[in-house]
Amino acid sequence: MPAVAGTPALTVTDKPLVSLKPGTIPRAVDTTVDVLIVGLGPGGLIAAREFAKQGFNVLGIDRKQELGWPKRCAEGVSDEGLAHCGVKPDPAWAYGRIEGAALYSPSGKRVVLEGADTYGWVVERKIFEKHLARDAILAGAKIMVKTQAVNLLKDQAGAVAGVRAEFMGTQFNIRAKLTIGADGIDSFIGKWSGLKTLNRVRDYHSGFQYEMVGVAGYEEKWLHLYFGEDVAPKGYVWIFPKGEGVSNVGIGILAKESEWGNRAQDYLDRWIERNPQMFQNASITEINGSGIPVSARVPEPVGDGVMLVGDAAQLVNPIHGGGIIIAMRAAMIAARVGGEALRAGDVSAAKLRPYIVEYQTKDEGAVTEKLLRMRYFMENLTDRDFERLADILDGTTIMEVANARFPTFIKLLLKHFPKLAPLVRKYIMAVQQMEEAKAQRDWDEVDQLLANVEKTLAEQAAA
Amino acid sequence: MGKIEVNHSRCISCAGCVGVCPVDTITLQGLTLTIDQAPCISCGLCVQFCPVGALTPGETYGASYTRKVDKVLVVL
Ligand SMILES: Cc1cc2nc3c(=O)[nH]c(=O)nc-3n(C[C@H](O)[C@H](O)[C@H](O)COP(=O)(O)OP(=O)(O)OC[C@H]3O[C@@H](n4cnc5c(N)ncnc54)[C@H](O)[C@@H]3O)c2cc1C
Ligand code: SF4
Ligand code: SF4
Repeated sequence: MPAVAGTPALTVTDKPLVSLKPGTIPRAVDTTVDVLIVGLGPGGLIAAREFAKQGFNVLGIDRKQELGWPKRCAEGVSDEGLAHCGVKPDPAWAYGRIEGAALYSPSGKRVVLEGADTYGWVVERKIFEKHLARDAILAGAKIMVKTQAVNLLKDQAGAVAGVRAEFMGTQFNIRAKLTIGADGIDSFIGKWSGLKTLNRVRDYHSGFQYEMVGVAGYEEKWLHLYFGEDVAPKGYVWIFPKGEGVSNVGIGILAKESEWGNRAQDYLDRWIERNPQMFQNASITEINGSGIPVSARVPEPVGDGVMLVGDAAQLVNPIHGGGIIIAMRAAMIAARVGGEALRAGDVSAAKLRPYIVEYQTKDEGAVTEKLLRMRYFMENLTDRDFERLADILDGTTIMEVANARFPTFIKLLLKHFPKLAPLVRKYIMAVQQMEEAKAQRDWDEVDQLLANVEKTLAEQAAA
Repeated sequence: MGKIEVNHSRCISCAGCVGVCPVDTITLQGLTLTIDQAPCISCGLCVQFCPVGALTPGETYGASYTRKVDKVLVVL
């Protein structure tokens, strides 16, 4: 059995390498390329397309024998995200049209979110990813499936220089000027490169899902999200409709809460049993699951000769766990910054770092960092708090929160439950510093309100 | 018997456990989960994480086994 896990020894390739020539099918022979992409999920495939478009010699590998399967995903994507990444919805994979979301409190109170921000699709990932692969290959990239990275190649100076891979029992070296780790939550590219990518159970959801046919009694144009301690501790149950009674019915719970008898699967099974009106005529056609990193990101996603995108860098929305579009957007930036570095002949970590700076300041990172604070806040709420939130919040305010605009939400909270003031101070107020000056007026008001509420609470405590 | 046992008929090859192992001793090869037992430090994180309960502490699981999942020992 090949050695796979663990920190590999420094490996210096000494064999003469053949270049991956246009007009050749990539095979399990020592090869040299400009850009190697390990992992061909949405992140890796968009990276492959974008590097290839710039004229680089690109090879992508995935250990799966069939791209896109088994999925670890509920398959929800936004219109806006697809458009940003230049992916046109195709009826071949865009199955469930989504125009809104319904959130349910533990007792079943419903709040509906609507508006263009919520529009999107529930896709069929195994076809979606084949189409992304087609786009990448037509742009000039080469890919190999059933090909697993089993070790890292480094040059004399210690910079990442590609991987040792295995295809159906044959090991070979792929040497690359730049290596992209798009290898998901179980990324070894990051770990082998010395980047800190370990998922901690307090920032990691344990996810489980059934794709079902014959589900009934729900609005098919909405995503449905169910909250509650008994439903999904520090997470939620979802129904993501794919049309005609087909749905991804899944759950994410904070991994820290998982224990024997109370695992993600146990919670989901119990919830399904409690809702026979929806599931009595349904059957399961797929079983999926996996980890969902909800830490906002790893501290450092670049090293000399290497960049991480997508789940490998924990780039996922910490509130709802969506990571498809984020992986693709990050890959677009990585390809731009990586392309410049390659053209300049310098792929050092310093030259690659603008990738994450741009992600943090101009892209999704600006929102996810703030949502991480909101996640910590929400994890402290009880079922009773959720019930009362369902009474006071409307769809518009929740959409604001989802877009990391918190002042209205905090003002409502302080008005209706002053007791949450300490939690607001502890978890959400730090976001204030991340805000731009234009929003400062709102925050000044919140500051003032919070101070008043705290004063009243202190007086009450003293009395 | 190893420190951690994989029940392959339960495992759904999701690789979630790979992402929590602090000593990187779990790998998914294709769809098959393998654990190199020697480096395992018996932290129990993989057992705790697994959404379907495919991992259980084996006979040589270490004394450092103190997490919530110690309920497993009782149930087994
Ligand atoms: C239950 C669940 C539900 C989810 N629902 C949604 C949702 O509705 N919407 C959403 O946007 N996101 C959702 N997510 C998150 C989303 O699935 C991920 O964020 C997304 O797939 C990340 O894409 P990626 O390209 O980074 O990684 P992945 O899609 O995980 O791709 C990584 C690829 O790397 C390959 N690989 C790994 N190691 C190696 C190796 N050593 N050699 C070769 N190949 C390797 C794997 O085979 C895999 O194909 C969900 C996640 C889970 C677990
Ligand atoms: S977490 Fe459980 S189901 Fe997933 S790969 Fe590991 S053992 Fe298998
Ligand atoms: S018990 Fe800990 S060290 Fe051992 S395999 Fe599981 S996660 Fe890794």
